[in-house]
Amino acid sequence: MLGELLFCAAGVLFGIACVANLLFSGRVEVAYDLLGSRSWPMVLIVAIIILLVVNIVKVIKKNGGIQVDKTKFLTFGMVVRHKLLHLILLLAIYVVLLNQIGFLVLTPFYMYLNMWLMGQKSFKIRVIVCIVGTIVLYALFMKFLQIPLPRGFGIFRELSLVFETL
Amino acid sequence: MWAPIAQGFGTILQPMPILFIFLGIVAGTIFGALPGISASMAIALCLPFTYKMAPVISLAFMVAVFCAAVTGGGITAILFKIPGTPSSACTVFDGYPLATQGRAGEALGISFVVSAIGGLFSAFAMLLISPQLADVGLKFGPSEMFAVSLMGLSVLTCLEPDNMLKTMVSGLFGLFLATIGTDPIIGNVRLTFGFQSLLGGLDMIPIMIGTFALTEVFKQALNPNEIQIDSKNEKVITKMMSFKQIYETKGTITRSAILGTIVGILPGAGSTIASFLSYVTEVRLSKHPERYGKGEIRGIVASETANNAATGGSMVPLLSLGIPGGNAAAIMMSALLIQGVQLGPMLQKTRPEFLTSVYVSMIVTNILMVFVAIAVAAVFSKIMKVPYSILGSMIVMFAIIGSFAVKNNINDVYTMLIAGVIGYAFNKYNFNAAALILGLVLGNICEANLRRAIKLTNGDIVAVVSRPITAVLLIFCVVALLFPIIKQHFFSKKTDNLPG
Repeated sequence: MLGELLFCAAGVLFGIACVANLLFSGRVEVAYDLLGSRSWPMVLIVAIIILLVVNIVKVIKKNGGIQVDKTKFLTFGMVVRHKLLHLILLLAIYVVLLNQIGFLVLTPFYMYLNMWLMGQKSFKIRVIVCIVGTIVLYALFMKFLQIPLPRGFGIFRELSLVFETL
Repeated sequence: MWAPIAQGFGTILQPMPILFIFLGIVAGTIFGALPGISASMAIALCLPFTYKMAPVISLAFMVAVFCAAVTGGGITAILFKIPGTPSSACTVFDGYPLATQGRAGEALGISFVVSAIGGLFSAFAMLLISPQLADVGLKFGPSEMFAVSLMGLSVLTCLEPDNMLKTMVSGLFGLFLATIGTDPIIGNVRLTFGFQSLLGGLDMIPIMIGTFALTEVFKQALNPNEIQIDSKNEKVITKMMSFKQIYETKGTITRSAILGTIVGILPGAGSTIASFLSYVTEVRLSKHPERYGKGEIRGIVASETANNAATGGSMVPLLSLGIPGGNAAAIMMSALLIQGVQLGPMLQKTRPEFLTSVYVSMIVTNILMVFVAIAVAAVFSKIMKVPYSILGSMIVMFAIIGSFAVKNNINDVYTMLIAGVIGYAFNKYNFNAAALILGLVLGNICEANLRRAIKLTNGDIVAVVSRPITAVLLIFCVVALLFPIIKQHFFSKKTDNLPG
């Protein structure tokens, strides 16, 4: 219940930020465009805010007030140990570093850690899959389909270029 | 009329055209199955091979790539919950639940057979009545297109009748996401919060991949029980759709094929819109709408028949009028222009056999495609037996590359990641990801056409809604939108009055 309320509340706050953005960012009026560029998103976001507030009220009514089940309440320690957060954090770090370090160097490390987080116990399988997987994906997209993957900067870029010439 | 058709068959049923059609099908099915490679991207990747071909053969080859890519997209949609192409997003809704029930082979078989039926229907329709259909397509102006997109959105109230509020929020959120970036009429920048990367708007593909594939990986990682169901799957063998199943779903097949063909003709619509409209129409007409999204075979039938039927439809404005209705058609047109072929009304008069050859090549493609797709699916389905710790990691990698490949832009990968997290929250708190995608797909068409229609009538809204086709479609929308609400209201009153 609390999770849903927080999610809806975050949605309402996001909606309010969007309304403010629409109201206060530079306005462009064109005579022939009678509806204007802001009316449509404004109608949508206001409707979303109203419906989310209705949902919040509905959830509170259904549960007879805001009740926090302390046994289910996440402690800091539980958050730190949460598997989903680890997966998301790992993916976020990978995506942030992808442009800097490049696909070829970074991907084996990411795949190794991701497999470990997802429960792959065998060290040998993790190492083999992360190396073979990276090579297969690189060959398929970069070599065969000619879809450029991030090369990274500096020495990583040089390294990627060396592999591209192979 | 019959002489050009016979000539078309004579041109295509030769060893070389058949060989190139076959190669096009193989390439198209594989590209289509790979996430992030859309049908238009598949054609673009195959474009260099057409430079040395004769115009008719090159167009037949590209048509084969196009049709097969749309079909191939359904393979990964069913097996891994990753729509290979945006037009197979609807296939995920019922295809993946069937796969988790151990019926992946059946889902694949249904998908291939109805894809072929949809493609064949539209190819035959084009062969016989393409000039007339082109005229119908031209009657659809902005106000009619607005009404069509609104018709698609009218399903929001019946996707999950017991969860209408959250489904509405999800659909509206999808529509809202489509407004981010430069607006489609006057180029005004909206809701970018100063991020340059949002100027071009949010691409559909990363959001679809994030909401479906990444969310599923997160779910599977947290619930090892569901992983067990997958790993228990025996070898996935494509089970062809039986005649009984075809007979049972004949209404869905017919409606979806007709709808897909008509939507395909409309410029700017295409396979994705066709499959969504067809899916929502079936949900709307079904006596058991609650079964959709849980492994209802009619869901796969509607989506796959319509998206393949739209491929034939999209050839009509291209060949008959010289107007490319979408990206794929535009790439084909540019390839033919390089070879000196000018598409348009004159082509019908001067070289009618050219048009019929293209439609005949579509017929051949749709027949051969079933067998090639079975072979490709067999290769992909072997991957299902891999432990989820490895498969999940590979799915994430495909999701990342698939999102990056859209525009070679890392921001699309950020979008995919955020969509994955939001998709997970949607799933956890019973919001509806399908409604979000529906809103996202129809959002731009809905807004742009409404504003264009108002502009064309100098602000006279009555004139916009009173055009005959628009009025009929809008009345249908209002009835369809309100009917479930009224039904639920009266039904709940009745149950309230029941004793006990």
